[in-house]
Amino acid sequence: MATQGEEEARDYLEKHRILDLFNNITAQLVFNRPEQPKRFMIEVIERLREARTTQLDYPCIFDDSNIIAIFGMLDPTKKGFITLAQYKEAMSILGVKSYDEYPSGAESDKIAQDTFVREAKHGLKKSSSTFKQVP
Amino acid sequence: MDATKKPLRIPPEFTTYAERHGIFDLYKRLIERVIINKPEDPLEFLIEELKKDNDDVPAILIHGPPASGKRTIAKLVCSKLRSAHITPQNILEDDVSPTVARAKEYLARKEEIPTALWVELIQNRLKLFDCVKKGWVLEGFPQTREQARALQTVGIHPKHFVLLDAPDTVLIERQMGKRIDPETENVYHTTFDWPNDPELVNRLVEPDDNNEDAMVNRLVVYHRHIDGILDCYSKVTKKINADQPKSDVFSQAWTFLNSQLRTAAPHTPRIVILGPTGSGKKTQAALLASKYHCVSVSTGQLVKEAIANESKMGEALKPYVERDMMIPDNLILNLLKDRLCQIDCVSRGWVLRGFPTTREQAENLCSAGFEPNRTFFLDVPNDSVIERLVLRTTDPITGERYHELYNPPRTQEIKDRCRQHVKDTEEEVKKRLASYQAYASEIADFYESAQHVNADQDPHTVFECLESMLVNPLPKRYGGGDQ
Repeated sequence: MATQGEEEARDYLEKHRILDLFNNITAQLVFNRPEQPKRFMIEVIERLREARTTQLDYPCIFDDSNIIAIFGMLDPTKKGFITLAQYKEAMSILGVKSYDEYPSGAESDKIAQDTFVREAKHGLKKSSSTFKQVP
Repeated sequence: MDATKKPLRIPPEFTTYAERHGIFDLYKRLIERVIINKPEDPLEFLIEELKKDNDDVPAILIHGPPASGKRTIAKLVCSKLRSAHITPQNILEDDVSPTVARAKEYLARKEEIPTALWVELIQNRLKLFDCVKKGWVLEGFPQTREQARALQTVGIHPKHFVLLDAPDTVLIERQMGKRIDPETENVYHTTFDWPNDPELVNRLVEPDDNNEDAMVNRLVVYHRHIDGILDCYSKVTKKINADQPKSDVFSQAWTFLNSQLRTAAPHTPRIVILGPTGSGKKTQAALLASKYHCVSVSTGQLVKEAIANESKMGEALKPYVERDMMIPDNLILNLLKDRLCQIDCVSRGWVLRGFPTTREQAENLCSAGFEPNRTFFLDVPNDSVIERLVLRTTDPITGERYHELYNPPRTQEIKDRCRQHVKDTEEEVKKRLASYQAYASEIADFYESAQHVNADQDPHTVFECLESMLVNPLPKRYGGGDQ
């Protein structure tokens, strides 16, 4: 049985998304492997703090070109569409947990690049904004 | 699934990277601080914490019965570490803050200062710049278990707890001769530690309330609380016998303060075992590999395997082996790289022996990204190597190995048919020893953190020694200077 202190700590960590924050920092560290990890972590957190006020430019290891590149890989013949299964797989590769499972075009199993990019960006934004969400 | 074919989620270099920079411990500390303080804005708080950059600073508690020499040892430690020296007395004197004023009110009324107030006082003191940057040595506090728990609740936990201990009779006698210099607060003793400077001698005063009954009462109070306090710090405590000369007590304390706590960080052993022929590298590597589930890698073995597999690499190596020539470094290194890159080595760690034999090889190994996190030198005098190897014989019928001194054949019949390995003649062994000795010192220069082990002992004693160095973090040096 969890004690009161444990419960409080857990609530706190959840509310402020501390563990997600650390997951993202780890991703950045693995990706960049900076010589001075502490300074680098400070930079990442500072960028996040700025992003919180401006609601823009979240620190994330994927940018728009990466998202488009993933779409391009899944659609080598340039049909302009990917299947729903591919869409879901791509989202899990990007590490996006919450996204629209049935985006427009899901019924015909054809998801357009625009829809994909929009959903991916939205999802990435959500997973990178690791701080207390203001309702 | 075959362990060698499992996909890798994290690049292998990251493990080395994380280990070198202590990422795991950094995370642990940060999350710990966040949970304890629960700041409104964790981002801001984390930036502040990271900017402090003070993970390595000492956090030491020195405790012991009255007259056990806490003050003297704490002063020595502080002057060596240049940390802040904190005692319950100097907290009350130094400050002019309202908290101290409140505490003094209690004292004026001859009441005990409540625990919460103590904790606040200490918390305030530890927030000051000198403690944050240079660390702290807290002496003679906590005095009760309650205080210790209260400190822990606010996140004040020492990395080291030194307990000075001595029999009560010794302490009482010491207390009787105790003299204090009122200017520096240094403690002297009429018989054991009398200063030479005559001016200082004149200055010395006897502490208040210096009689045997008062001392006995203080000891009683001390013994009532100490077990509860120790219980709180069981993982970081070192008990030191204080009934020894000052310098001995200090050197023991210093050794302890240089040791690091074990961490919960994931640790894949990457070990290099070096030593002359016959020093037991193979035995120790096998023991380590079987106990810690790492992979024992030997270059000699790899070469034989490559040749037996008739691989491309084997073909390249064959002419060198057949003509009994040195195999070029780049071939060996490639062979080794292929092996150490495999998933079993990456995920479980490795024990390497028989390589590197020169400084250049050691450098190449390092630049190829295989940095060992432990390096052991098995030191054996030449005479015992010769004794170990030259007297070794093998029974060609049973394959049993004997040693003429330590494990002689049981019957004359066996003894007669025993043969010596061609590589075990005295000349051969001497040749191998000489080639090892030629490069030993330059390799030792390269691996600065290498640990030397006296391998002229029973194999299991040596193994225990290696284990302790593998499991415990390497000692660190505060301030660089040796004792």
